[in-house]
Amino acid sequence: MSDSAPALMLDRINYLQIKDLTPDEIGEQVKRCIPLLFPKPGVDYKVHLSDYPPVHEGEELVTRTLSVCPYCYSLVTAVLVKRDGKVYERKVCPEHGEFEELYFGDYSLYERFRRWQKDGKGVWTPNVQLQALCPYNCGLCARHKSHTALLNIAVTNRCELRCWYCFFYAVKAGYVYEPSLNHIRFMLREARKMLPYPAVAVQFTGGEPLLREDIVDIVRIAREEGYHHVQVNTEGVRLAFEPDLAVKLREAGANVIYISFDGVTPYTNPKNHWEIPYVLENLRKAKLGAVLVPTVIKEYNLHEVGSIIRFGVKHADIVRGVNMQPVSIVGRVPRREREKLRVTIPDVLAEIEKQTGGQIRRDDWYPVPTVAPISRFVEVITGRPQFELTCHFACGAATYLFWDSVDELIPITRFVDVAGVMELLDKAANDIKRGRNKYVVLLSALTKLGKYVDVSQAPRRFRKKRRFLRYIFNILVRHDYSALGEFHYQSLFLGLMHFMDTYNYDVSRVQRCEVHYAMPDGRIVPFCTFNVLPEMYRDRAQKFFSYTMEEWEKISGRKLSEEVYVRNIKKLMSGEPYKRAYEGIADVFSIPYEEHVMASKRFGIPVEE
Amino acid sequence: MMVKTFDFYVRFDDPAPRTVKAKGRLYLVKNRRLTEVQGTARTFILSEDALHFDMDFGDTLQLSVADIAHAIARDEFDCKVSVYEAEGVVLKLYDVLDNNSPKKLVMVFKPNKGEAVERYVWSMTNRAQWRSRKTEISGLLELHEADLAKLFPDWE
Repeated sequence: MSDSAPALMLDRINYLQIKDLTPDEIGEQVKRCIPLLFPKPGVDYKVHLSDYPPVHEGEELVTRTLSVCPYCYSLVTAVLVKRDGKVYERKVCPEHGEFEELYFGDYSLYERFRRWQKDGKGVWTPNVQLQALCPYNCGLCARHKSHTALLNIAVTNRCELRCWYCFFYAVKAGYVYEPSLNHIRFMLREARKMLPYPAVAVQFTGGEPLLREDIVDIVRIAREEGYHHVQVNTEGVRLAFEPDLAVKLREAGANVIYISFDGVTPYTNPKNHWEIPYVLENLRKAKLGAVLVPTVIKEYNLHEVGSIIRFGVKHADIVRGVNMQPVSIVGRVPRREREKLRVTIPDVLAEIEKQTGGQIRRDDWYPVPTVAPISRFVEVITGRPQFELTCHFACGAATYLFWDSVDELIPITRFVDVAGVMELLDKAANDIKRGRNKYVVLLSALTKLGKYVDVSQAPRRFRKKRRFLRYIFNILVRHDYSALGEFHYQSLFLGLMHFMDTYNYDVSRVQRCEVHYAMPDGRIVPFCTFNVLPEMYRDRAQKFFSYTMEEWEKISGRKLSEEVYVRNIKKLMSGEPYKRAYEGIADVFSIPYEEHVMASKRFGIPVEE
Repeated sequence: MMVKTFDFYVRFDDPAPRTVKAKGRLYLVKNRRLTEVQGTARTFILSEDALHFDMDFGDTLQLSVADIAHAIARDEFDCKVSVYEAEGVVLKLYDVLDNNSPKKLVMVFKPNKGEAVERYVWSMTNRAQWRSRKTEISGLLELHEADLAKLFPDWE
């Protein structure tokens, strides 16, 4: 290759020219393209920072922030206001008018969560120079406040499903984005260079990543590059029909499968309702864990969040967690329509409380940065920078769930004073920083830990006090990854991660984002710039490093238009795994077959009849 | 070339509490000597100063106008901007109190086609020791190290 940027064809390079180079050579070539791909002021966006939107009568100003116009992506000022006990974001674009959106459905929870905010140490190894305002300078740039907690790498934009709302997959996009193995290795290496803490967890995503024949090699490469945690994000069709694939993925080093799961009926989960039982069965045989990932939409599946959790508990031998994602609204959607879709973290928590009969209450949840004191405590003990979770408090919430039976759910907060433990660790870390002897402080903190655990309220299997404390001891003192793993096997992680959209965008949130994407040009970009401003980031970069459809079909010898999954509902419903999977959760056999078929077809997935 | 410094006080609690106070100074190098210069003072204008502010404090303090917006909501951002027209290489210094922790920021700019181009910044991403920094900065400014060191008595 020459020293100049690869030959340009308007908005794409000839990917065939670079795909077989070494990772270092690919890096050299793709990094030269960054200036071409960078968002352009005046073209991609404008900056309107002169005035702040008004606060109306009956409202209370919560704070001010910066946001983007949902129509032109320009930077605008925004206010967060309290009204009727909720928090709304309001912003005005001089060209497109005023926008108002629900930001957080419960002000009291906003305040409780805010108190747990901890900012990270930032990124000492930015991949780009600071030359534009946030979020048009990603990344990561030196302003960013959190290191990568989870790196995403899109390995293809091909998909065998044709979900009605998706415009992302290859056939609709008109190109195939599929970085070569060496290109993926380059991206993995870029994120491993990050200081003060390199990326250690990676998720392969798509499109549908399992459509790649070399997905097992991709997982193996991640392990070779030093990633401790490797997960694959899938709709699960291939896993349902290829039992060996789960085994191969586990053997290659995959820790968990992140799988879409929007509800317990065909109406709420037409994407993979019929396949999920087979996926779980095959993962069970392979001893490969799953995390269920429901996208929660107000008028669509909010009424099933309790059942989704019970489904997770029923399959807790293989399901490690349920990570709900309140919907991120894509495209231009009128306000009335958005109100039918929009839910925020407090709304989901309120529904979970209602649908579990108060077994999981709103106050059982903590925002993600709550656990930062654990990292800081371990850091002062070991003297080494630690992985820490410091995203914005409005981005995510979590708890751990235990149980005596599917009907007896016990959040960790019922027998552990989480706030007390975190305050204890925070104080201990501060004492050591101020010069107190770390062994004295450590001993003192550990002896006090027992006070924060009330075993009488714990699940029966934890009532021997030392067993639970031993987990905590091993995690805190031995920094034992397997201890953390065993803790997870004994519990169900419940999480909520609310990715933003242009309507509720908050630059303060994106600056703290810790779920990042590796871009094919070597940049690392927060989830909510990559996916929320796709024309500036995701689509532009992926198209730039893509094959034409003809090129891909020639290389692979396959036709993209033939890559369509056709579902055989009768066959799937007749299998034992299907019969067992929903038993006690939803009466799926009372739903007429025709309605199963209609649900699938309406969603965009054809049915073999 | 146009250069700005910012003297400011900012305090905000949302999303996380932080208080920062900073005072900037600008030095020209004339005859291999540093001379402090005075700029034209004015109030901070978000739409005009946002990027300059981020360029000075994004990399050094991880403070940006997105943080400032939260302080403006509580009327806890007070900022004076000094604007300079300078020729040749300049040294920008900030004395900072960041959540009660004292810091000094050091930046060197050189003109290029009428624009101030950053040649050095004492940043989060540049973690070298003072001795090697002193050599680098004085080299850029074409100063004796000892003359530069006078500005940093605490680090000698």
